[in-house]
Order: sequence, then structure tokens, then C-alpha cells
Amino acid sequence: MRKIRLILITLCLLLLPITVTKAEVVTKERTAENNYGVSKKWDMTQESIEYAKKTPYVDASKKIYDFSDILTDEEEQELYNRIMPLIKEYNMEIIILTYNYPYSKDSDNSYFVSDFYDFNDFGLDFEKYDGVVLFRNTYSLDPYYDMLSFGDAQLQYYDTRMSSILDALYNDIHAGRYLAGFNKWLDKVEYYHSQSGLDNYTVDDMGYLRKKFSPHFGICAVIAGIITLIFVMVNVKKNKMVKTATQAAAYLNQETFKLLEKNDRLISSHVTSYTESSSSSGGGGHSSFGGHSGGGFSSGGGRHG
Amino acid sequence: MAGIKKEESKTEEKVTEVKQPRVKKNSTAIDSRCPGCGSKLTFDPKKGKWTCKYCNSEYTIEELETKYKSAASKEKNEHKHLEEDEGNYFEYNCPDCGAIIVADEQTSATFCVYCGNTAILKNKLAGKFHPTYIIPFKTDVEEAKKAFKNISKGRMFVPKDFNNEENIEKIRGIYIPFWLYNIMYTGDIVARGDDVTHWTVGRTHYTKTDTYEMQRKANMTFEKVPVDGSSRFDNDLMNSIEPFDYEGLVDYNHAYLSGFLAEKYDIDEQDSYDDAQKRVVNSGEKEILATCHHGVPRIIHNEHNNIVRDFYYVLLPVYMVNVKYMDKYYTFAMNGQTGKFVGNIPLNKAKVVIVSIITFLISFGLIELVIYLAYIWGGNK
Repeated sequence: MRKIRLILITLCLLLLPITVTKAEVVTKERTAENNYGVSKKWDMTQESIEYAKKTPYVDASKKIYDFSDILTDEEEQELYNRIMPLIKEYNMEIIILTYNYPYSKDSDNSYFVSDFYDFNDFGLDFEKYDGVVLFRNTYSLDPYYDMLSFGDAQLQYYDTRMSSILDALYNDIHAGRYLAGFNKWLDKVEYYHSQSGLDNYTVDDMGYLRKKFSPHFGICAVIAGIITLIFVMVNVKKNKMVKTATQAAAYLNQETFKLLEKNDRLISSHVTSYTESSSSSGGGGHSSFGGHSGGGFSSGGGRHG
Repeated sequence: MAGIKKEESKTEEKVTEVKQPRVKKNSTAIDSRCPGCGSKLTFDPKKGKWTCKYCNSEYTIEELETKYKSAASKEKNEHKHLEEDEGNYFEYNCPDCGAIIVADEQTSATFCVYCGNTAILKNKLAGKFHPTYIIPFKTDVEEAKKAFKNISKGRMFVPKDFNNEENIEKIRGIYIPFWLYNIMYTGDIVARGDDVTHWTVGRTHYTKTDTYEMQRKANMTFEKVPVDGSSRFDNDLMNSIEPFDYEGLVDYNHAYLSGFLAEKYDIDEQDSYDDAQKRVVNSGEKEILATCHHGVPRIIHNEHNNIVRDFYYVLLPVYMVNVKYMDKYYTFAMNGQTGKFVGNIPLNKAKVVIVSIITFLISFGLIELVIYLAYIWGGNK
């Protein structure tokens, strides 16, 4: 009997590594000695330190962080093999993050992802920590996914583009076909990288999108032309002092004015109305949000499901 | 032209044009000489008196009239007679030096080019050409010169040397013939106007438009509306030096012409009336419309009737100068009573181009600066 029990235990121990095919994400500890795992230029305030401590500290070289264990090792490897050449070619980070992150507001997801990106060593090789992240929140009460871009990547992957990318992924993500969904995401990343970016925007040192200074030469020339025309006409008119007299009001003897007849008659009356539309259209600009680190990022707006 | 209607015993009556024979013979040139020493007298606009620079005597109009009356009988025999010219120019003999003075038909006071004495052609201002009133010069020629000299102040496109000394010296004081009309205007106007009110209930905006028809009939009198009676002077130029202060009108006397040129009218009261009538109708309508208080009135129907109650032939004081620039003459006039100076100054085209370019560059630069500052101060987010 003892022998049988020993054999069963031995078998269980031998089979255990075979049945658990999903490797866990390795995290490191944030301490004051390692500056709480932050190698970027952000000023670490007490508040940002607190946020950094709440953020998983990971090995930035992995690129795929499947905290929710929704991918197999093989799937992770497949995605990793596809991502690495793109990172080298595009000079920006491409990150896939899954996490079971309970949230109350949609924006909590964005802050979580931006903290994850900013408080880890992503994008250190690039000028403005450029990169994109696809985040899948597997929070059971309200699953969510979103795409964020950082640094100069915001010029290629701005809010409206990312929103359309999220729409394209919905069916796969919602149905749990994560590999297919993530591959589709990479297809979109490749596609939009080949498209022209925001020419009239730039990204500042803190990672915020800024409108480029546009001198508007045409408009300036038109306005300057109008000003010049008015100025010259006013001065030309000063040279013309002779005017044709059309009035004789100066010679009217006011005492002689007699109103002989006065009759006012209402001949028509009508009322028109219009009702204001409740909808209002927004502006056409693009903007960045600010993360807890102080750096900026753009978001696709996120989707539930 | 509607013709002049002169009110007499409540009857509208057209003034009939009185044909006058052209006076070409036996005109006499006289001057304004000092009753004391016989030297030339000049009218001092500031003092309102005639002064003799030789014996320092000063005379009022009343004093001169008394002195001249006594000498009138002698004067008749002293002056030489006119010799008729074939055209419209006439020769006179200067009573001072005997030199021949040539003047055209409209000139009624001029100067002898040899002795500088004023020659008043009395017969030119007689009969129907005798003015009823005159406004004597209140400003002297030095003020006119100063006004012309300052013409470039505040004007950047005045040609260089336009108002130089050579041109300034050409300024002359001239009495210009004017017709003054007293016109009673009667207007019968129908106009429409909209009273518009707005209010809002919730998100709905309402507009109520009440259209009124306003009928008005009024009469009023315009007194002494001036019209230039000489075809030699541009009407617009003469209108532009208005208004004259009619408090300064005095009974006409030849002596006021001393030291100045003078013209007689060549456009009679009938032909001049049209200009006065147009101005009166415009102003009359405006006065009546000012009593319409429903929106901006639009005239639907308009009838008017003008009656000339009086008209006067007067001489009004004007300083004039003609300036030649780029082969074209430019005439300037100054109201000899109020000092108002008018005229169209030619443009210095080179200055216009330079100023336009500079203005464009400066405004362009400033607009760019404003856009850049707006970008720096938050417009770039």
C-alpha cells in the first residue's frame, strides 16, 4: 500500500511540469536602491513612487507580459518572434500586456498601462521612449482592452487610428481568440506605420503631442494685404478734401419744421422660431493624456468586452 | 429742372428770367483810394477797416461812403473810357498810372500789373449783377498761405515741393458770386419699417416681426442754401468750403473788394437752383424719416414740393490757388471767413508704393508674431 502511494506521488511530481505549460511572468522588487525600478528621466515624487510600487516591475526585454495567462508559451513565442523584427525596424517598443486589473473607471486602465510602460524600462533605446502597447484587462466583471502609444509613436498611432484598430480587434478579443486578435493588432501596427503620420504635430520632451507652429503665410498675407489696403486708402482719402454736397441740413431752420400728418399702421405681424440642436460637434485636434509619471501618452479610447 | 417757384400771396409762381444786355461799353475802372492823400487803400480783414499805408489813415465803410459821395461828381469826369474788344476781353485804363488793364467778362475787380492798384470795374457789378450782400474777408492772405503751407501735415502722400514758396505766393483772395436760396420744402412720404423682437423659451428661439406703414407729411424751410454762380469754379470745391457764417453778411459795397479779385455770376438763379433743390430734397426726406420710429424705414412713396421764398445774389470770400503738378492743374480754396482749406492733393505715387510695401511687411510680421505668441502661450495643445 505504501509502495502504491509512493508511486502515485512520484508520478504526480513527474507529470506536474508537463500539464502546466503556461510560464508565469517574472516580476522584480522595487526598492529605493534601484530607484523603484525606474530608469527614465521622470522626477520621482512621493506620489509617483507610490504608483510605481503598485506597478509590476518586469524584464523589459520580454515584450509579452501575459499576467492573465491567456496565451500558451507557444503563442507567446510566436508573437515574440513576430514582434522583435518590427521593434528593430520601426525603432519603437511593441508590447502586449494582459492583466486582471479591477477598475471602476475606464481611465483607470489607461493609467495602469501608462504606469506599466513609464515605470519599466520600455523605450529606453529610443529618443522619446517611443512605443505601443496593446492591453487586455481580463477583469471578470467587465473585461476591457485598449491600445496606447508613447513618444513619437503617437504621431503614427494617434487616437482616431487606435480607435479604428480596437474596432477591428473586437470580434477576436471578445471571443477569446487572443492569438488571432493580437496578430491582427500587429498587422494594423505594420499597416499604420507605413501610412503618413501627423505632420502638423510634434511630441515634446515629456511625451505630449503638441501642434507644430504653423506660420499660416497665406492667411497672414491676406490679412496684411487688407490692413495695408485700409491704411493706404485712409491716407489717400486724406488727400481728397473735395466732396460733392448732397445735403442741406446745415441750412435747415429747425423752428420751421412742421409735421402736418403722422399715421402709423401695422400691416403685418409674424413669428418665426427655431430650436437649438442638442448635439455639438467637437474639435478636430489630437491630444495626449498625462500619466502618473508626468509623461504623456495617447489612447485609443478602449473597448469593453 | 423744375424751375424756381417763388411764393407770392400764397401763389406758386415761376420766376421769369430777366434778360440783361451784356455791358461792353463805357465801363469805368475805379480804385479804392484814400480820401485824404489819394494813395491806395486796402481792406484789412482783421480790423474790418480800410487802411492807407502811406498816411496811416483808417476808414470804416460809413466814413468812406461819406467821403466818396462828395467826390462822386468829380470822379465821373476823371476816368477814361473803355475801348471795346472784339472778343470777351476788355481793356481799361488804370486811373493811377494810365496803363491798360485787360480783364475778361466775368472779372469785376482786378489788379493793375504795373502799379499794383486795385481796379474795381464798377459797371460789372451794376444792375442785375449788383450783389445784395457780401461777406468780407475775415482772414488775411498770410493765414491762407500758412494753411496751404501746412497742407502736408498729417498727409503722407503729398508730393515733394507741392506747397513750396513759389506755389504759396500764387494765393489770391477772390470774391466768388453765390446764389443763396430760402426754400420751403414740403414732403409727403410713405415708408415701411419692421419692429423685430426676440425671445427664448427653453431651447426654442422666437422672432416676431411687426411691419408698419408710416405716412408722414411735413414742411420746413431751408435758409440761404448756397450755390456757386460762376462756371469758372468747380461746384464741388465751392461746396466743400461751406459753411459760411451768414452772421457775417453785410450790405454790398464796392469798397470791400479793395485788395481782392472779384467775379460776377455767369450762371443765373434759375440754372443754379437745381443744385440747391437736390440738396434740400435729400435733407428734407432725411428729416421726415427721422420721425419714423419703426425699424429702419424704407421709402415706398415720396412726393415733394419746393417753393423758393427768397434768393439773394452775394459775394463770398475765398482764397484760391492753382498748382501745376505733372502737367495738371489742381485748385485749392480756403473759406475767407472761417479759414477752412480744401482741395484735392495729387498723390505721390512713389510714396504710395513705398508706404504700401512697408505697411504690408510690418503688418505681416506683427500678425506672424501674434500667431507665434498664441502658439507659445497655449495654442499648441
